Amino acid sequence: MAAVTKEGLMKEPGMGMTIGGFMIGGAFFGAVDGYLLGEVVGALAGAMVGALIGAGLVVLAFKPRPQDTATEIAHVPHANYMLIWAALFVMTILEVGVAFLALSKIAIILALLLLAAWKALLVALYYMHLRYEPRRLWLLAASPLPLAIILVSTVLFERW
Amino acid sequence: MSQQEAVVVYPRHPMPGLGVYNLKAGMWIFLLSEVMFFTGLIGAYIILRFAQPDAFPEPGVLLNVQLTAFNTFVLICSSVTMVKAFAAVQNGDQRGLRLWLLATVFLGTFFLSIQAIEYYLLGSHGFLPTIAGYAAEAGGPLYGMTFYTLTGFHGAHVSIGVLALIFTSVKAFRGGYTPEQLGGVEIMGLYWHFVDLVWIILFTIVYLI
Repeated sequence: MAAVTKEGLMKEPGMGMTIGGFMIGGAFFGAVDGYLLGEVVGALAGAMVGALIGAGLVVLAFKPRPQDTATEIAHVPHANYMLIWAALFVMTILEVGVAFLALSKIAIILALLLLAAWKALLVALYYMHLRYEPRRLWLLAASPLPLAIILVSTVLFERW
Repeated sequence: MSQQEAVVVYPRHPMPGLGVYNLKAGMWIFLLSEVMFFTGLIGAYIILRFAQPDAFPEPGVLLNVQLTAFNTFVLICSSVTMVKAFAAVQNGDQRGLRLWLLATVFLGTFFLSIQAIEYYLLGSHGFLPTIAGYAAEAGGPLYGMTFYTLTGFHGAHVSIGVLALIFTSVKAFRGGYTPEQLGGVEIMGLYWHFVDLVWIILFTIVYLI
């Protein structure tokens, strides 16, 4: 691909379109499946979250950045790895501390999930260099997340 | 430009599709299948826990959180040594690449050793992944089943990662990686960081919540 333009991406049988369609299709299927089982609310919530994330990702993926078109890499950008390590270390200690606080169970779970998601995001963005990758790889990397939400939420809200 | 300011400039071949080289695209696609694999396991854990809240003891009652928190720290350290190995090969530092890779192999093995000790200690308290070994005070069958399935599958991933790391190290000692040819180190790193990422979530969900 000589230059990544919006038109070029549209012409190309792009990964973005394929994955975006796959995700929206998955979300739709999640909703239909939930309807058949009589579990409209949970499945629709999952499907809507999935479709929203999917749509956002498609928009992101179609915005090329300079490094997507560069023909040579003058220097490889990366974060301060030791700083990320320190942040992960501190957040692990925080997690263990929060888990045994005398707070309500819901508050503790929310805080723990937030910290875990934050840590996971740090690893993915900086250690796996996702932050410096083309946006279309972001789309690919995030594509299973809506599916994961649909999978868990649909079964979780099922009543029998 | 002085010597210190010189940076490595190497050609970047046109990469259609995802905009990354095939090796990396392949590893990412594999990791996506792994995300769904662990979603199945973690999702089952969440669903079972919602369905049977009494079968799961409070955090710290049965599991040794301090030991596992230390183990989490070991795995985080192994992630930083892995990324340091990649940074070394990017800068053409062969010695650094080998040393950081060896450090990662060591830390990965250390993590597995601590997990083995943890399993041994839990087993000696009657918390075993066998039907006969389930004690009622240890949460009953559901807890043992989910705990050993989740941590066991993660441990298997770390074991495979350590084997792959040994392979990568041997190749590094033979001079198989250069700043132009570093795909092997990068995708090894991607797998290793993914395993670390999964542990971050498992540690939170299984040990702390």
